[in-house]
Amino acid sequence: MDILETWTEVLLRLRPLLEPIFVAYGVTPDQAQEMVEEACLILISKRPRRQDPEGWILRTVIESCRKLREEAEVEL
Amino acid sequence: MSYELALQRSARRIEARAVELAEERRAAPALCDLLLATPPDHRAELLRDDARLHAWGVLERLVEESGEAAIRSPARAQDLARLALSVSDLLDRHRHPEELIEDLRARAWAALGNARRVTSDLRGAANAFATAAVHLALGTGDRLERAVLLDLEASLLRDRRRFREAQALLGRAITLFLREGERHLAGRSLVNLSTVYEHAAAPEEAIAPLHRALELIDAAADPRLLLCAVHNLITNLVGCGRPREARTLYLRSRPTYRAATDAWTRNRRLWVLGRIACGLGRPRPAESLFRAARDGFLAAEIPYDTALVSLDLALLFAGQGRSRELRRLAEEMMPIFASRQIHREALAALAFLKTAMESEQASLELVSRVAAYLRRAEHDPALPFEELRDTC
Repeated sequence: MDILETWTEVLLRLRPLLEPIFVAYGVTPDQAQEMVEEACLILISKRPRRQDPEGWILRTVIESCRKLREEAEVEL
Repeated sequence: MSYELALQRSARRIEARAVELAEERRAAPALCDLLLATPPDHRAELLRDDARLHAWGVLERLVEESGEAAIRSPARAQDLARLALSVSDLLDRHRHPEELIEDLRARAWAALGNARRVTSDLRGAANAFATAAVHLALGTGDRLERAVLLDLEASLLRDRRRFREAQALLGRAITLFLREGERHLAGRSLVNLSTVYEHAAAPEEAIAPLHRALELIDAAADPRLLLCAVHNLITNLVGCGRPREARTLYLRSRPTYRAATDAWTRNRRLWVLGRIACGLGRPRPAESLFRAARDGFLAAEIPYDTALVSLDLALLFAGQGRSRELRRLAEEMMPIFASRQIHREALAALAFLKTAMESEQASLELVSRVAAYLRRAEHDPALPFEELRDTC
């Protein structure tokens, strides 16, 4: 992630990786928006800057998807 | 709504928040200066009344400054951490998610704990770290925060001489840092791990973590940490009787040393070079290096290191049977005894050795034993000298 890149550019680049994750876990676009926002908010709120921010977003989103599925399974 | 639209919306909201944060961070230094320039009795009032201080940027900066001040100025570090905790209660919950605030509260408590540890308030430090863990449990679940706390708690366990537990915590911190892709921070924890081994008088075991740390440390981001790792590795190599490896590493690391021009680095560089020269069987350069290091420590008013380097000189003289120089060295050690920074047992050991040196009775074995005692007692002031005296 380049320091001069906008978040629109970053998420556009990550979209091909994120979309299959959302699909695999049955996450709706609204839920996806919430997950990505939460992850990115943590990222921009913390210093020092992480060494691998994109990897961190992907890992955090996958964890959120898993958690969502587990919650759904408990409800069933 | 498609995923594409969802991601676009996320990006717009994050960009707007990033702009707000950047503004808060720009304003934070001046606001923190204002807060710190206010007399302590009036700070609570100022914090309550000035809404500009109820900002993430201010909280973050106070926490960072507290962390940085811990070693140099632990009392100030504690003040800063307490102020940060006050600010954390005043943040607007609509703009800042509670979980994120809890993460920074945990950091502030951890900074407070670390500063208390530095002042030897070990019980207070343990309480602060326990409180930090509670806030962390209420936070975002960010593993990086967990790793940072584990690393700091390990330093407390090291100071309490609970070495195995300290090693275990650092092992967990290193794993978490690496899993999060934070190689540099993992390198820092490896340097901490090496100090645990040093405090446990196991220099051989400190070597492997330092080699690994050198692979991970981002030298551009933190040249001081790189220097610290290099210097500790050289010191441990020479301490384990591997002066050739220590010399090779030193020659390779000269640019790193050259970049640091402070007296602290200069004196320690001269000292370790003296020990390398000694190990390589070159007493003349060793002597002049030890003398230069000792004079540097004296000038910088660092009595414990002055004592330790004086003992290296004494070892050199005792090994060569130079009893007259030993007697003169005993006289030159007088300023050390005026220090209040050396604990009672260590002073007793030095006084015992000084008497032996003055009467030209200091054998190589005696000097070695006192030197070994002082090295161990540096990190363990409770270590009794009496037992050693009985065996001398």
